[in-house]
Formats: sequence, structure tokens, C-alpha cells
Amino acid sequence: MTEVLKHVSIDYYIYLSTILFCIGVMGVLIRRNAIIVLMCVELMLNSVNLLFAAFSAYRGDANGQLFVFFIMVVAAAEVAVGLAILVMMYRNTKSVDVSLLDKLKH
Amino acid sequence: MVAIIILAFFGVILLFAGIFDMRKSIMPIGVLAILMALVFTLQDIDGLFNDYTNMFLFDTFARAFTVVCLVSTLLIFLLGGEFLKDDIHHKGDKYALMLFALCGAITMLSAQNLLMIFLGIEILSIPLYILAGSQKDDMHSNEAGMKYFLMGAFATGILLFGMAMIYGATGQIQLSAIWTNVIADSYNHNLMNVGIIMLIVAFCFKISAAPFHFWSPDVYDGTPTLFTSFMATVVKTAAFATFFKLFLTCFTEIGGQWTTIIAVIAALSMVLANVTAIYQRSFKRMMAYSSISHAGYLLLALISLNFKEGQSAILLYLAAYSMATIAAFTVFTMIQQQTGRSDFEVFNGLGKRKRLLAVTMTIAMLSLAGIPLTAGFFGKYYLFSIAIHQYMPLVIIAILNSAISIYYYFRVIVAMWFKESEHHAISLETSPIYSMVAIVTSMAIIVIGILPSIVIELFW
Repeated sequence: MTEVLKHVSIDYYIYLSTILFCIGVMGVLIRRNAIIVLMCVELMLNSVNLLFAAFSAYRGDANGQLFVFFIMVVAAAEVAVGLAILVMMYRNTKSVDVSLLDKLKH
Repeated sequence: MVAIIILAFFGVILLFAGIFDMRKSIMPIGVLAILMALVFTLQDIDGLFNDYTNMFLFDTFARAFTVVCLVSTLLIFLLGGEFLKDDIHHKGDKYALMLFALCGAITMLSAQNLLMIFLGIEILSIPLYILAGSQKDDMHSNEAGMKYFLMGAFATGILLFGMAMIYGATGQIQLSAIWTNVIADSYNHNLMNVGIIMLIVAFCFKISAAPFHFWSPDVYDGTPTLFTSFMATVVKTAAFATFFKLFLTCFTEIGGQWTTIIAVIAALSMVLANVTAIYQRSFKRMMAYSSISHAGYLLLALISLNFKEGQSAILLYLAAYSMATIAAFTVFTMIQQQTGRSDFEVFNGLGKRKRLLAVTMTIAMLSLAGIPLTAGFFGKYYLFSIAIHQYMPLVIIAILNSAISIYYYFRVIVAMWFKESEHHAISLETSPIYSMVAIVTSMAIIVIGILPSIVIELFW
């Protein structure tokens, strides 16, 4: 598996992850639907996972892959809390549009 | 490490206490847990865990900031006895979540590894997302929870990307190993630069420094006041101390590349926050902007590139800041609970009706403004004196900003002592817990203000 990975230069993995990460960032900043914002956050975290796995394979060092497992666990916990907050918000506003959240600006 | 085990264990016990309807004993159990953790932290009994020092090392640095976090939480728990009095169903959960968040703070502070820093930040943040949105039927609390969550998750993404870049550049995730690679100049420079910038952005989100501060006034305002004081003290302390440790352990030798960015962020935070705070009408929003400006002052410690001096300076500053913030929130919580309002007019005439509370608030405001004989003065003094050799102009900006900040802090003092109360002739009732916390915090501010060395000599 490592051999197959190494046929592709590490640069391409960095470019791919950076592009995915930027798509995630743009999604968080632009989209107004809270569920899609959550998906974009996941995209950001997964692009980081890809990057860690690629670096790990190229350097022959297990630490990066170890990191990926922890990121996946934490991302799951985070999404669980995020969806709970989303449900709470939906109960009060009957909408998942984050632009409705402007009551605190005086 | 023993402290984390105690806090996590008692956190679980509190969850069960909530289920089995032991409402009266929840707060005492929480206080007991923190007192035990404090004893074990001060006694330094950590021989049990010496085999894991590559991941986790409970050294003097970690112990010092852990004590600040534990004392802040202890005072907040005592306030909670009154604040959460009417919360029948979820009282245990809220205390438990604060204990879990504290475990995250201690993990961050003793981390020796990028992985542990990441885990610590998440363990600290996730319970706080819940606490921010814990008033489920209140739209403001909902909004605060959602905003805090989205911002926090976004910042986590950026933090991880930065860590991945550092890992790619050096092939290491352990702080000391990264440092070795940095001084041997055996790393990929492009990846390292991207990584450092990403880490700065992520940590500035977490400590709410401008221009990444936009979320914090809304979140502070919407969150139930007890948890706002937790955010403003414990989270700030843990996040800033970790930021300081990570950068000054790993990247001191290449400081020239990133101190300019930090200097710009510090100047922006101070100027923007202090000017905006003048125009606020709500006390909580004013405190949020005040906390942003304090993040700006604290960044001076990073610029000094001096770990030894810097750690005592930020310890003193954060201890002073935490005490003053808790004192201010104690008085404010009590008034807000009885009047239901949060503008500056609620303080009118407080000096005549409740002298103790007004004196506490005055001491807190003086300390936040950095007036001599209060803890805040020495905090600022040490911080500015270690940074003055590196960035003279920035220190001048900081001093000018402290002068501006006096304006809005004194607005509260003027309202309390020189204005007549118009609306509510109702008498405020002070519960003994509030009075006790008020006395303890104001004593602490004055004692640190007269003898600042006791805080530092306790650890170094």
C-alpha cells in the first residue's frame, strides 16, 4: 500500500487536501443552512485526516495515523453536540437557517 | 494527573447525583472534588505517571496554571449554589460538565505533544458548547450555543490543519522533538510557515483576539451569566497558557518569522476592543470587549520570546484578571437575577444600598483598569516590562489603551457611587454565598496587589 502511495508525489496530496480544506472553509463562511455548515466542518476535518495519513505514509511514522484516529473520535463527539444544539434551535425557530441568529446584535 | 482523575471521577458521580435526586448535595460534592484536586495539585504527588512524559507532564508550569483554573472554578461553583438554585432537572449535569471542561484545561496545560493539546482543547470546548446553550427555551442562549459551536468547530479545523502542516514539516508531533528539528534547521520551511500561521489563527480564535473576536461579545452576552464567567476565566487561562507554551517551546528560535504577526494582532485587539467597549450599553458585552483587550495585552508575553520571565508574568496577569472578572460577575449576577436587566443603569445608587457589593465591584473595576495597589497593576507592569525591550512602540500602544479602558471601567464606578437609583426601589437581597465570594475575591485582588511576589513564589 505504501508503495502505491509513493508513486504519487507528496505535493499532490498537499494540494488535494488544501483544496478540500478551502472548500470546507468557504462553505462554513458562505452557506446559511446549519446542516450544510456542519458538513463543511466535517470536510475540513477530513481533509486534515487525509493530509496526516499522507505525511505518515511518506515518512514511515505511525504518529500521523494515530492522530487521524483521535480526530475521527473527536469529530464524532463534536457532531453529536452540534446536532443537539441544532435540534434545540429548530424547536424554537422552526428553521435551520443560521442567519436567523441575530437577536444578540443590538 | 491525579487531579484529572479526581475531577473526571467526581464528574461522573455528579451525573448520578442528578439522576438520583440528590439536589442538595450536588454543589458540596463539586466543591469537595475541586478541593481534593487542589490539594493533590499543590502537593505534587505525581510519581505514578512518570512513564508517560512524552505525552503528558504535570510540571511546574502546568501546576501553576491548574491552580488558577481550579480556584476560579471553585468560586464559580460557590456562585452556582445560588445561580442554579431553581434548576431542578439539570443541575448535576451542569456541574459535571464544568468539571469535565476543567479536565480538558488541565490536559492542555500539561500536554507535551500536539495530539494532547488538540484533545485538551476539545475536551474543554465540547462541554462549553452545551453550557452556552443550556437555557433551552431562551433564544439568546440558543444563539450563543450555536455560534460558539460553529466558531469552535471552525477553529478546530484550522488548528488541525496547522498541526498537520507542522507534522509534515518536521515529521514529529512531540513538542521537544519539534524544537530539536527547528534548531537543527531540518524542516520544510514552506509547510512550517503555513503551519505556524494556521496555529496562530486558531489560537487567536480560542483566546478571542481581534480580528478573530467577532463571536465573543454575542456568545458572552447570550450564555447564562455563570457560564460566561467560566468562559472568561478558565477557558481564557488554559487557552492562553497553552498558546504561550506551544509557541515558546517550539518556535522561539524562529521567532522573527511570527512575532510581527502577533504584534499586529495584539495592537488590533487592544485598540478595537477598548474603543468598541466605550459604546456598549450592556455590562456583559462590555466585559466581553474587556476580555478581548486583555487578550491583546497578554500577547505581549509571546512577543517577549522569553519563556522564564513570560510564564511568571502571564501567571500573575491571568490570576489577577480571573479574580477581578469573577468579582465583577458575582456582583452583576446577583443584581441581574433580581432585576432581570443587564444595562449599566442597574448599578445606579448601588453604593448607598449595598455597600459590600459596590466596594467589591469598585475593586474589580480598578484592578481590570490596572490602577496601583490592585492586582491588575502589577500584572500589567510585569507584562509591559518584559516586552519593552523587543517592541517599544507596542508597549506604548498598550499603555495608551489602558488609559482608554479606564473610561469604561469607571462608568460602572460612577454609576454606583454618584448616581441616584430611579426605577427599582426594591431592596436587593444578598445571599451569604455571594457576600462570601465577593469578600474572598476582593481580598485576593488587594493581597496580590500589595504582595505580587506571593503568587509567583508559590511555584517558582
